[in-house]
Amino acid sequence: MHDPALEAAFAERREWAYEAAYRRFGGRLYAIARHVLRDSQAAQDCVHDVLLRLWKKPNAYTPERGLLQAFLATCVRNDALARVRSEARRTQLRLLVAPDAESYDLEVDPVESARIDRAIGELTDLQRQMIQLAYFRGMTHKEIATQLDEPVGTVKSRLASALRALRTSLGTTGASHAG
Amino acid sequence: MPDNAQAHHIDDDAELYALGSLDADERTAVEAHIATSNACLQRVRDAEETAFALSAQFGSTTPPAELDTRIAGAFSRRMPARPWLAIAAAFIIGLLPSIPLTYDRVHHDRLLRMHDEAVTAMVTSHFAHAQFAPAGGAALPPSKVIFARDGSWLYIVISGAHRYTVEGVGPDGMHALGETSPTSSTSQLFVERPPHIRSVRLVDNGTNIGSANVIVTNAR
Repeated sequence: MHDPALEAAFAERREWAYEAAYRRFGGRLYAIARHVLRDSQAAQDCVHDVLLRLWKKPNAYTPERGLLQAFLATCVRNDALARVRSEARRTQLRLLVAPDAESYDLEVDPVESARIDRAIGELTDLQRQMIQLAYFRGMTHKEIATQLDEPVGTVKSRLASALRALRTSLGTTGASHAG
Repeated sequence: MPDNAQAHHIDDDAELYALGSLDADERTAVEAHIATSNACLQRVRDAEETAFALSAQFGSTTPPAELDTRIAGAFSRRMPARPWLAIAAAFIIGLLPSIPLTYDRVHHDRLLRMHDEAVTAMVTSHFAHAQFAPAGGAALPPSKVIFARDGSWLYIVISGAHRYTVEGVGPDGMHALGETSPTSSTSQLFVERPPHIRSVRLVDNGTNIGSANVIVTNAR
């Protein structure tokens, strides 16, 4: 859902807009952080810190950037990945392999989920592998290159191509469910 | 935004940024670059929206109440973005001893200003009011929207010192109008020059708890 008033207020760094954005998209943002970090407290810190950092940084978001929820999802996911990669460096653990310490209820939109599954199903095996490793396993392009024993440039090109193919396959301008 | 044709473009890094596959330094470089290039901004925007669609696979979950409290605390009673300005002002008007009260003072001043604007608007224009009706079985405290007949302002007042999100629904969709500010016994929001809306609704923790129709009879 596109909300120009909220996006404009968020860009102007009006405080209520940050709280309103959290109320609107917090469930999705928290789920993204939780998926990556596998820990409730760490996911809370991530969502909180990202919103606060954006509020303090002029021009972090402008309406030209596009859907606010897509922008916030990228920020939260990148922050969560940075946290887990930093932790992984310290402990030499692989990413996203540890189970979540506690269970929590997830609501998955079955219609949207089926649409994504169909779109992923239309990708080539190579494209699907790229999306799987990068998005669902949270690996960097360099890690993927090492794992597949491929040049970094080749992997970058394949990753970008896979996401563009997915966009075509989704047949969407990116308008997905809010929340 | 100027499109800096001299700068090299980020190319595939746009998609890698959205996928979360870049290192911290590479991410920073992308963020700096898209501030200077419309073409690359558009590419990141498209990639982010596709990645956002993928995130539907992670579902959505109600964040812990603790996070709600932290977010409310961070954004509802925050000092101005330039705290030194408030401190300098406090020196000038002799309020330094009361600096620990600055947070309350900012909140209080905001409420006073809003109340003043609302009363002035009522005195100077024709207005009507409507009671909020509960949505479904939601518990809704007594609450009203007072609005100018020409649609130039809205004033929402709810019993009880609780914060709500207020949304307006118009012919072109939903608009975020803001958050109510709690006093000791009510919670209020004054909206000047709202978008064209037909009803307003109160949202509490993501749930629509009530709505009221706004009937503008003499549009601006």
